[in-house]
Amino acid sequence: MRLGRMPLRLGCAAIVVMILGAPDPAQAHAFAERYDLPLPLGFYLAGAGAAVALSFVGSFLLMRPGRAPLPVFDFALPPAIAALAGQAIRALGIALLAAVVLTGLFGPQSPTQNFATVFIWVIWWVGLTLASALVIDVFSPGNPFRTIANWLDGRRDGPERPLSSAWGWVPVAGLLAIGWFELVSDHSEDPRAMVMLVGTYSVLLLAGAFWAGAGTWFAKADPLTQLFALLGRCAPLAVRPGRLRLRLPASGLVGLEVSVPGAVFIICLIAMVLFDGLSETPAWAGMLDWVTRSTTLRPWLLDLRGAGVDILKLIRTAGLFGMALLCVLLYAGLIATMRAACGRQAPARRLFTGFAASLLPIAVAYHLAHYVSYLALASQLMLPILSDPMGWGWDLFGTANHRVDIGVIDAQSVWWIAAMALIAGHALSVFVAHAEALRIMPDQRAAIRSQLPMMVFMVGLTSLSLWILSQPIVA
Amino acid sequence: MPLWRVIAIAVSIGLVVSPGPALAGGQGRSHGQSSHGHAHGGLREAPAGLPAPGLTVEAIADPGDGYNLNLIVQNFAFSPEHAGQPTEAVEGHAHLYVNGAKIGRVYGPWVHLPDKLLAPGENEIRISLNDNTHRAWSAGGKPVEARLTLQGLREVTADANGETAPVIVVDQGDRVRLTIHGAGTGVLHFHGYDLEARAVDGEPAILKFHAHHNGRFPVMTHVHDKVLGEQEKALLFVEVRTR
Repeated sequence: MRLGRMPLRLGCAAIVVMILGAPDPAQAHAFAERYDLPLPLGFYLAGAGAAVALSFVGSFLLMRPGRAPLPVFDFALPPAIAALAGQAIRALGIALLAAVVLTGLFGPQSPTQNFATVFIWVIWWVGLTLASALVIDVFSPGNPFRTIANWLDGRRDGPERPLSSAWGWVPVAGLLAIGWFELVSDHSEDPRAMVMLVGTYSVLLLAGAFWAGAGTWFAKADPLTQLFALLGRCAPLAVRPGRLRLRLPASGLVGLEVSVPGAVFIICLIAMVLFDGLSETPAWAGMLDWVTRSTTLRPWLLDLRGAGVDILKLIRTAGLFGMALLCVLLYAGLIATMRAACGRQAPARRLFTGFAASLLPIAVAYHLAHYVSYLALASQLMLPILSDPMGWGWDLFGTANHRVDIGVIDAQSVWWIAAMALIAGHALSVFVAHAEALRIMPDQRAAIRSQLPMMVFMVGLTSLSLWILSQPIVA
Repeated sequence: MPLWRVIAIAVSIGLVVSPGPALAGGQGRSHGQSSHGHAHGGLREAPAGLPAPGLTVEAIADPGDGYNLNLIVQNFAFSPEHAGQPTEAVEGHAHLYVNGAKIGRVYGPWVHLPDKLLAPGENEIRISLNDNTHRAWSAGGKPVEARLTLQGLREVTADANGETAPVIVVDQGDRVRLTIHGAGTGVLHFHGYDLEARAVDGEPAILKFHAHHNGRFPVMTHVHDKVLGEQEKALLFVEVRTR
């Protein structure tokens, strides 16, 4: 019996080992470690209570049809200044990309001492995504890949190739791949592997851009373009041709038209952020413990391990993709309930694509709460790196010996920022969802009824975010 | 980040306490200690025509052990060369008392106070200025001395042998000596505070640190799990709570 099952198990193992690679002695995750104290019960309850109250208030205040259009202020930029700023930010993008490649290949190979790893994961993936959502998206105008693609585009003959809507699934896959590298793989801590990753992405991206035309390809198939465009819509500032636009936070999400894969992209982004937090809770650790000790699974796991699979990565991979699938299903369930609640007065597809973006402010708020202290601590790793980027004993700015000061932000500040961010994020999500409902639904009555399940869902999402923050970090 | 940190600044410049029946409990106790401390020969009043001598003491937590005390004197000179000889000048040495017991003489502006001289919790430190024949200097009838309260080490024990990693809770500002039992053999990393301790099987590992910053910090070690392989595992967590 045991013997009979062996080939099958080893067959599975062979497939998985190709994806997950050989197990490394796990140095992992010290780089991404957070030292937050759990959110106290009072903050948790007050935050959840405020979320419920805001949902009711939102329904009363926002459900008036024919409201004045949202205020927008445009500041005209002198063309010379706009052009100069554009060139400067594109040059900065190219310079940073070059710095990542050079230091990744030839710099010190410790993840906390290498410019490439610290820049990519701390400054860009956490810092710049938050800045894009809270202040202004500077990645889109400075995107170095776009700069290179535009330059190549000038050497390309023929028209842009129209791409079918199925190409919209490419960014979803790309986003999940980035999430996998960040949250599961150890490669994220290896500077040379990061350069390989950036190189692979560039080759695929530029090949696609050359094949289909840069404009089409970046708009349809690039996960980063899509990600930063979405985050930028949450921001109060936006760059428009020749102008700088000031608007209410998150109001850029109102009226955002996305495709079905676009909506799935947003839901997967939320799922990744939630999985990041959930996988550090005692509940996750208990699940991990249960799986590795389960008498049914243990022989399988030992065989897989014997075949070279890293079981922890396997479980985390399943957790990440499982979470994405679960969130998409929950969202689909919400949309079905919403459609029933409003008396089927709008097509399901229209609802599915219409309301995904309204959940973004809560996800951004959770992301901020989760990472604010990490950003304050881990960004300090940049100080010694900037003084000695190649590990040659330089001290360009006198900061070569800076050690991370864990006292720059204290627990109370983090708790206040976390609770305030989630309450504000919830309020903005309620506001965007109501505005969408009035836009999509044929009448006010249907709009109000459609928002009942939405409010329950949003209170659940905010409460889940607060609950994760109130859990002690165990991983 | 400098590991040194001024954590307590002495309160009294010169004279704080004078003997008298109207004193509250705490000060009354100090008075009792003072008379014990003046065993060598009571008070000596500084000359009236000269500026009065004074003393301020600053305590700086030592990164390794205890505190370093800085004795800042005014109108007073340390004179170890005249020990035992009666002189006219306002000079001499300081006496250091911990919880009323005399520790010794101090002949200069810096003295190290090791943790072994401090009890757990709060310790009353008194430093007086004395002349070469051990009479305590006074000005206006009050002894020239400084008092401060210093925290002794907080002794905490953790057993890392259990099913789940224990959580050790200390208060922000504590100086902690953490004894970890059952950590096996290997190097323990105290993340965040970035300290290391070596564990040898059968002997407890010791981590000494000053809990300046709040947060939840893991003490990690490397373990081998049959299913999961080489893992960095949290032996315990230290929660530094806000006061």
